[in-house]
Amino acid sequence: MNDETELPKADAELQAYFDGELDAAAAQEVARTLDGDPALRGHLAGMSLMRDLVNRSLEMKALEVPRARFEQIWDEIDRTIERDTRSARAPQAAPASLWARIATALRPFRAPLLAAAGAAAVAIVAVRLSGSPEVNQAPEVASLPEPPAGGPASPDAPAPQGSKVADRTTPAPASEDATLPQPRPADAEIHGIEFGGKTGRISHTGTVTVLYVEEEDDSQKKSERSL
Amino acid sequence: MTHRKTTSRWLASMVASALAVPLVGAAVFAVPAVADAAVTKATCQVHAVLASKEGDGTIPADLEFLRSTLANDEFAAYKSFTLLEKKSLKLALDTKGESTFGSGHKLGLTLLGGDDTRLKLQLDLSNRDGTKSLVSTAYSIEDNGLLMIGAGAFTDASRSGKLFFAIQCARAG
Repeated sequence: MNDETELPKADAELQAYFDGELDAAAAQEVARTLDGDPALRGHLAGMSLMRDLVNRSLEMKALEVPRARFEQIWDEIDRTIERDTRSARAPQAAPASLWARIATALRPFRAPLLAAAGAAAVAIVAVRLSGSPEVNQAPEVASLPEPPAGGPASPDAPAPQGSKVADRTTPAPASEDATLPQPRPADAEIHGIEFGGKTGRISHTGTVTVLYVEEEDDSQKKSERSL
Repeated sequence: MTHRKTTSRWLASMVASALAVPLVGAAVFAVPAVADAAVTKATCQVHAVLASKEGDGTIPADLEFLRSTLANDEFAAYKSFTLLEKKSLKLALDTKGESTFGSGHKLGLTLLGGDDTRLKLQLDLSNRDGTKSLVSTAYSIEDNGLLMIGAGAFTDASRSGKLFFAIQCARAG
């Protein structure tokens, strides 16, 4: 029988036994103690019941979350772990750049600055768009059919005046001769975007902008990370 | 009374107009023009890249030009990268160039304009059977800049991972 002063230690030991964290000798000792102590066995059974309840509750909650979301969450976790690992491996952090120091100094004011920048961007975009008819953001562009094979227009040919948008679609030239130099590290400025798939998000890293899209079919498939 | 109200409204309109003109003018001229027609031709390269979580982190020679991008934390979860396909597009102003990839995705690019340092483009990516738009965006980017699209899971006979399209455009001519 456990007295009150021994209980915390016994509890911790029992918890470790339950979690499979004891070495062989200690586990055998706890098993022997369990054999002769019905109250402790009851405690262990209670732990098992509690774990089952928690697991079932989590599984029920997990069923409500789309698998695609889990994939994203796991990716974020992977990235975070990888980032932390890299930081730990780095022998000495490189001196922070001027921009990094400015960014750090401005971090407390990030929310109001972002809000102000967002408002300014919206105002500027609105003004620019209203005065620039050449910006073609017509959603139907994405659903244009391919032109019939055998009659590709020259990609360099200027668009005929007054032609319909559908007439301006050209197939890709087959040439792969052009090789561009090393890409310049820069974020893209997104003026307007429409996601048509299951999910979509924009990630600006400072050196490249990544648009993530996901087809509706993808979320139906069993994910490697799904529970 | 009515006369005073009318006068007040008239004055308010005058003040609002006087303030609006310089404000709108400042907004237009303070921002460098992005969409002017200084750029009339562009060359784009689109690389379809498979990013996998298995591998030793080696970046193959044909993706060496993307090394700094792929080394970004954004791609830290991936351990290997494979070039699946490369397409080149030559764009004229307001003319849509389109390419269909082995994955089935159709990618369309339209040059909308640009200035001395930037290009403005319209990008459209369809789903794998080409029936639906996954994303349609108008964006501007530095000349020779790179835009990446993560287009979801991809599996073929021997590989699986996530499919990325690396879109790089530069002025031509």
